[in-house]
Amino acid sequence: MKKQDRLHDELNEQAPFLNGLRKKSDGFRVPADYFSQLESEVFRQLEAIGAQRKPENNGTVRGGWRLTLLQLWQPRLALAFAGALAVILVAWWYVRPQTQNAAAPDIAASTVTADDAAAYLLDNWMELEPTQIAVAMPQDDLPAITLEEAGNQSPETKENQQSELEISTEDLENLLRDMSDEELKNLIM
Amino acid sequence: MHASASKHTASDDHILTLLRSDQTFDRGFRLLMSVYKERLYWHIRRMVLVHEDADDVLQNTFIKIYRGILQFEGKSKLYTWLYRIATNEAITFLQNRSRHGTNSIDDASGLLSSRLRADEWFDGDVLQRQLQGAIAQLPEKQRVVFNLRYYEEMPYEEMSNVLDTSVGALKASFHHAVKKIETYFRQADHL
Repeated sequence: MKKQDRLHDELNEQAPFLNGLRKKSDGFRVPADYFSQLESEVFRQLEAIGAQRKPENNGTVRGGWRLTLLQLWQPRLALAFAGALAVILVAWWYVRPQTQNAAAPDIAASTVTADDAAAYLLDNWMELEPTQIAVAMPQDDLPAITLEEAGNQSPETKENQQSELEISTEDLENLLRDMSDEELKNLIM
Repeated sequence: MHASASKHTASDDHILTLLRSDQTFDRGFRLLMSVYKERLYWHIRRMVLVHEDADDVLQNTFIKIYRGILQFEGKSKLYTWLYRIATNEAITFLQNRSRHGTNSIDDASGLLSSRLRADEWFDGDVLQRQLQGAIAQLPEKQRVVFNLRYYEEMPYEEMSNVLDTSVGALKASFHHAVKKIETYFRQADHL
């Protein structure tokens, strides 16, 4: 009653006309039995749409961490997780060759013996570039040439030097046999 | 009769106790509906005006309550939480309809008024029709504040919990709403 009096005073002060209107029926009606059938209708709707209750916020009451995981396992989150996994896999795929190359010298230096190196070279020398083999040769055996000189050389000179670098199979086998263990190791690293 | 008796005897604590057990959940939810269905219906009805729309919004409200009731943490009163859901559902309904059917507040209030005229479950006189027309032209928030105060006589403190707005702002909102309605009637030469 006190509550009504407060509203009455408030309206009387602001808009007496509206206070008078409150005493009349507002004109809204509902169909007969509407409210008595409402509960059954709501339950029918709930069954039709297969509505499920969301679990309690407090995960420790029921289910603990399993419940929390279930709450997280929603389609939207699963999709985001799958997307993140795909990005990580793609990134790893691009990075992978660089990682292997970077690790190779350490592995070779620590595990490959000179005999292994010699055997590898004898089996695979045809796949190596002459310049790769030249790198492993003692510096005394290389023709002395500076970068500047190399840049100023005529095409004919470069061709001659290239033919000098080309080596026959027999010479290469001999060369490899004559190389020390250390030189062979340097060659494959 | 049964619903009316339940309304007076069932407390929110009893409803919540029933809802916390799987065995008694459905009984608790039926009790919740029987206690609050009429209050929520009239709150929604005064927002959307037409019975058919109010029925849709009320059923959606109860479906949302059913899904989310276990997440009610008891930090506010149960009916505050229920009113908040019902208010949001009604506002969402009105916004969706005005987005699809009209371009302005005037159009939206005109649409509401014309739908009210066509509603067989409204038989108010000319003044009541004009009052509903005047309320319909208010911005949504003012309309909610006006209805909660004018029809349901909800204290500002409780309204503050429902609408998450300060008491001062609510009083100002009600005052503006009353003035706009008064102006509406003045222009219609009823004052």
